[in-house]
Amino acid sequence: MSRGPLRTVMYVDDEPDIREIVQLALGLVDDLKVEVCESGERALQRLPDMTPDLVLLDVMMPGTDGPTTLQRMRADPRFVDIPVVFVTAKAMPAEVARFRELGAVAVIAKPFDPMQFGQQIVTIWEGIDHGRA
Amino acid sequence: MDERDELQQKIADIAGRYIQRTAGELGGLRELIAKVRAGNAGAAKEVEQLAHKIYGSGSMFGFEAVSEQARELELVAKEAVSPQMVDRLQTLADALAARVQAALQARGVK
Repeated sequence: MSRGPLRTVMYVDDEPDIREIVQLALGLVDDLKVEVCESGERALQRLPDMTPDLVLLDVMMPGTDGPTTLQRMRADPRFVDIPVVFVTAKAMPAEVARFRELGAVAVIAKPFDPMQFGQQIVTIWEGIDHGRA
Repeated sequence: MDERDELQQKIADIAGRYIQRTAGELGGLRELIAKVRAGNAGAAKEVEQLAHKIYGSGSMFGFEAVSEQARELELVAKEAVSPQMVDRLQTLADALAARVQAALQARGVK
């Protein structure tokens, strides 16, 4: 079943420079609203207000890390269906397999190409629509 | 300038800020290693997190030498704490500082 075009994305990362890069990179995608959060805890606070189409999570963050944030989303009926993508420097095959087992629809390795990042996210979104991601 | 050129320019600006901020974090890194040496095992986790941050962002901004050095530091910080492990942390932190300094000099920053 199609979810329609990607309209809203939440990006969660404790590193301010990367948040800024992602915001700029996703700014190249037409009509896409992007919200950035500096921690998993902050993301969990913001989710009820924003209810994004897609959540992008850094893995290693102080406090509530990416996997814990995903687990808490999956435990909440309001957020259980929001697809999650990990964006991480921890992208060895075993780690990628673990993130997929946790329920991530995709894993994007850092460093990523900011010029291609927006299209990459759209492609993942379209893959979710057609059961490919 | 189209929006892609503008993005490239902004990325270059952010990269400059990143390497300067990283230079400022090295003092904190040394303090954390001193805490590990004094028996604070929790500080090793903080070293690991800081090194991971430098590693991940460094590669994003093209500071490969800085990133690789930070990765080594991150991996050692995960090991069980011992006098030898702390010595290696210190050696790697010194090497990281040298690479950050080289990156700053390459950008014309003293």
